[in-house]
Amino acid sequence: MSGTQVQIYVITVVAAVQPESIVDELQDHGLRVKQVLAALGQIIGEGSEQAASAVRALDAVESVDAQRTYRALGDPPDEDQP
Amino acid sequence: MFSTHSPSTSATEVPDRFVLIFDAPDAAVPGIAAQAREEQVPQLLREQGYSISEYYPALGIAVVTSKADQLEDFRQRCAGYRLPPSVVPELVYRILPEAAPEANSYTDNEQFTWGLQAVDADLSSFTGKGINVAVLDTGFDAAHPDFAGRTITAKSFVEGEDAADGHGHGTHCIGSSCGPRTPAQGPGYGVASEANIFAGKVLGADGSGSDSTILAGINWALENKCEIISMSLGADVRTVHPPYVTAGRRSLELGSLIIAAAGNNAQRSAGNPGFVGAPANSPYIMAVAALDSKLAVADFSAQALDTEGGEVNIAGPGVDIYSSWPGAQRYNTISGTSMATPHVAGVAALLAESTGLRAQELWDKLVATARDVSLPAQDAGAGLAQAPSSVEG
Repeated sequence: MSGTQVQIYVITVVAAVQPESIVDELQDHGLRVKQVLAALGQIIGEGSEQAASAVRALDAVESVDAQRTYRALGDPPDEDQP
Repeated sequence: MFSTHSPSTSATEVPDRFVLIFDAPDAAVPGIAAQAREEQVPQLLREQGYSISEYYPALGIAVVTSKADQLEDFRQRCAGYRLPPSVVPELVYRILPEAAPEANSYTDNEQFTWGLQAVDADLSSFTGKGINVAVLDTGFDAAHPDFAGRTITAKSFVEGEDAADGHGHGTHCIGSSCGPRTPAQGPGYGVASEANIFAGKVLGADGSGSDSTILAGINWALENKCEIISMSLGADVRTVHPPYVTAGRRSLELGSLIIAAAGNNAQRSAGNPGFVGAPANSPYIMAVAALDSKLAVADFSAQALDTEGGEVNIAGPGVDIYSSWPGAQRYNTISGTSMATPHVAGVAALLAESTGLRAQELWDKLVATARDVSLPAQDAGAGLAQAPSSVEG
């Protein structure tokens, strides 16, 4: 994957830090913050892999994970198998 | 006059036989001295004409044959010595008959779906009243007549879509977890029929969603103090996705339990047992397998992974499940670990109501009270989730 390709990441903040407090810092490192999930201590952001790497190095950040997709696990309409 | 207790057991009283307790906690003078038990009590018994062959001084208990008026006279004499006994009738006990064997096969009947019968929701006096249950799925048909008058909070986290269910899956899952037990038509299909419903739309009308919608939905459920978060969704990946380790752990810390579908990636009939996918394979998220109406593991139901969190924790009814459906169709019968998950979530709500337990303690209770259905733990975890019939200790 190209280092400049933009994708969505989940940033998990270390337990002692309020996620709102590092929003500016993340944006300074090139990550556009889309959502702050205060109860979970997580932030959804968008940026390049380079930006993700830079954010991953911050002390306040526990992990940075590229977004995954999921699907419903029952029969979809018009299909026989779950 | 002395009084006798009315036992609530099935034991029967023996005519003219009584148990005298000289040291009962509720006796007028509890904790009588050993000397009184060993000397005064047997003397009083003899003086009254009672045999002391069934007097046990270490216990301060005698069993006597007596008419009621004679016993009352004796009790008053003892009271004069500050030794009034408690008196209860002697009971005959019998070996308890074996409980009726539990059914191993179910069918939908006029009153209840087979799923409700299998988890004992049809027998439970609990309804999830006062418990907030979040179902994070494809949304909800809030106009469904079976949910009129219910407390429903709905929110969409899918960009460009409102909270309505354009797929059907979400309405079906909400039906199994929180639908009615006595709908106007058809069988009862909802386990926690009086729970407060939080319908978080995290999957679009195409049945798919992403971390940003799902995590936002979990965050919303936590903000709304949902005790139970049901997620009938997944991805067929073996690796644990770290955001859900945090999400599961923080949910437990905040009093919520996340229950997720183990996955439908097995094809057991072809020798493929599959594996528990994400996010159910996270250590702090309860993974649910699907059983059929004969309590066999469903062909599609994923097997445990050999990693921490990759276990199957529990099982629920997940094959040919009748529940609510959006629009004019109103009902549908479908299959999946998706269908097993809301049954377990509903049972969790009943247990949360009946025990007051939350988070990890609720998890432990669900597992401890599950029914052993003689399936390997890697397929069905602790077994089939069971609703409480009365107050759980």
